[in-house]
Amino acid sequence: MIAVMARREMAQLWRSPLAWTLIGLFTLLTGWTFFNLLVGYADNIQAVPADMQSQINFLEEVVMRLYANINFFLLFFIPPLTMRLLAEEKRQGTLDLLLAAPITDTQIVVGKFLATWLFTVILLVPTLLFPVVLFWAGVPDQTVLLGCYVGLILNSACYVALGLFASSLTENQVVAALLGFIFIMATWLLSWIAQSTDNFMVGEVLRWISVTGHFETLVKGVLSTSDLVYYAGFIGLSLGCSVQVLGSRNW
Amino acid sequence: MLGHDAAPWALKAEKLHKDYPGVTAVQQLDFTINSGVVHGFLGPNGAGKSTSLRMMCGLLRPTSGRVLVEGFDPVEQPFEVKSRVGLLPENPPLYRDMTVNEYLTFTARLHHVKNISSALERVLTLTNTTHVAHRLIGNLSKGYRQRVGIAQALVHDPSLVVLDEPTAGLDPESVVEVRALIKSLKKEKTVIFSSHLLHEVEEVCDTISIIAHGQLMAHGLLSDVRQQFGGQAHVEVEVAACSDEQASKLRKLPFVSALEIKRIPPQTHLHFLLNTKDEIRGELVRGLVTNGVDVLALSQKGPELEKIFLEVTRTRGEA
Repeated sequence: MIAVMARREMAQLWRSPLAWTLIGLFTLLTGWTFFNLLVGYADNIQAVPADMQSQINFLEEVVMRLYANINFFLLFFIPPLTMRLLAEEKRQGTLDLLLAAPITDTQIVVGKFLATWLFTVILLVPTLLFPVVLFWAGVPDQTVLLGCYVGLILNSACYVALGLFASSLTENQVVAALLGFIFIMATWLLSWIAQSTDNFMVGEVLRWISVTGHFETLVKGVLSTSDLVYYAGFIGLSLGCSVQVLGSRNW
Repeated sequence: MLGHDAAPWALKAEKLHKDYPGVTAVQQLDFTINSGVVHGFLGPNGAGKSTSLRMMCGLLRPTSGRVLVEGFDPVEQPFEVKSRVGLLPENPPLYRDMTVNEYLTFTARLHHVKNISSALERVLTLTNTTHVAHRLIGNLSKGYRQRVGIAQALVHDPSLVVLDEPTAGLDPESVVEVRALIKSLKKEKTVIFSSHLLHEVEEVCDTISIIAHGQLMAHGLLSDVRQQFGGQAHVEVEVAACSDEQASKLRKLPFVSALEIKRIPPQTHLHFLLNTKDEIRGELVRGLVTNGVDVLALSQKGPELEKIFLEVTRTRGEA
């Protein structure tokens, strides 16, 4: 049943001009960012004396900043993908079709989540050109690159789950997109607050709650059980909230 | 749990009650709908029809009481109920960006239909939509979209079909076709449909429920409801001639409440309003003949459903 739902969602996404527009824009934006970071790095290298050049770390200056930027772009690209997931079903009355069928609320939510998550992974596919270029230039640390992609994929799962939850709260797609943006933004804010606080304990707790904090660990090429538990918990909780909202028709 | 074979009825409501925050939508409904009938669910807007239908299909959970569909409780055994019920909500749940074929295939998959191609062929033929099967639903007329909505309700071959205002907003030709389709379903399935078009209910239904302010006001065979709430019956008599003197004698007959005479030469029609629900046509004919009036034709009309409906809903409103 989850597969039936996911297939239907995926088919609808590919039919939508919005999805193609987002893929095009995302590819252009990430490509432009990659180009600028490379040019900026080259300028920096030329601007410093030869004996200081080794202090400018390519991985930190280009690779990690590139993937941090891509992670930031997802903040703007995922809400338009998730806004219609449940909001449109409610507005058009097609949710009744699903509710009248032998399928559980959880299966509906998980099917929609998986299809949209898979689409965001596809959204990242054109960016695979960057590691190819870097690899060809003989630069990169493959562990860091792998960590960056695992981080992006897991982060996008969290963002999709939050966007889906936002979509479950309203019938209005624009409101759903705005709510999705705010929810994802909130996870960023937590990490910024964590950086600015003087209280060590509060800072650590906020960093652990924030998606960005875990992404920073992954970008360094470190994948711990704690991160996996965090991501699984975050996604599970967000999807669980969507299921509860869907079930609230009986309250 | 009775199970399908043990239930001579298709649906039973037992003290069915639904409260929304601050509002009681449905109050203590008790009724049974037999298998193989077309049952009309009548009521003014906001009476609780859609809420009741949604509880019957397992889309909403009752606050108290329960519904049994062929012996299965939608709360306890939702999948058993959903596989037996086909629902067309008031707004057909259609994906406008899909073709009719894609949409019905998706619906069939949701209902675990094994042979999807034959199921599609069956419902497309039944709803006369074969020739639009490859068209986008968004490009179809409202009449065709309604038919596709009915097709999705039938794709898993349910034994109980629930249609919420299936003819609302359709053109006259489509209305006739949808009504014919509902009648044809009666051979194999139980059909429950809600409507506020009373003549439609009279035309299509075997049994009816009248619901007002969330309460069941009348339930049963259409003829029984007429009998129960009908009050006065009407008899139309075509006579050769009737003088004023004869008319005044006829007005004095004990079972006559009123008599209206229409003279459109060469015909004369007497419209009697009777003060009894009993069968008194024979007595009326004797009364006419005794008074020298030659009877050419006679027909008795039950009270119109519209009048019953208004009376029943008004009675409750006053209470």
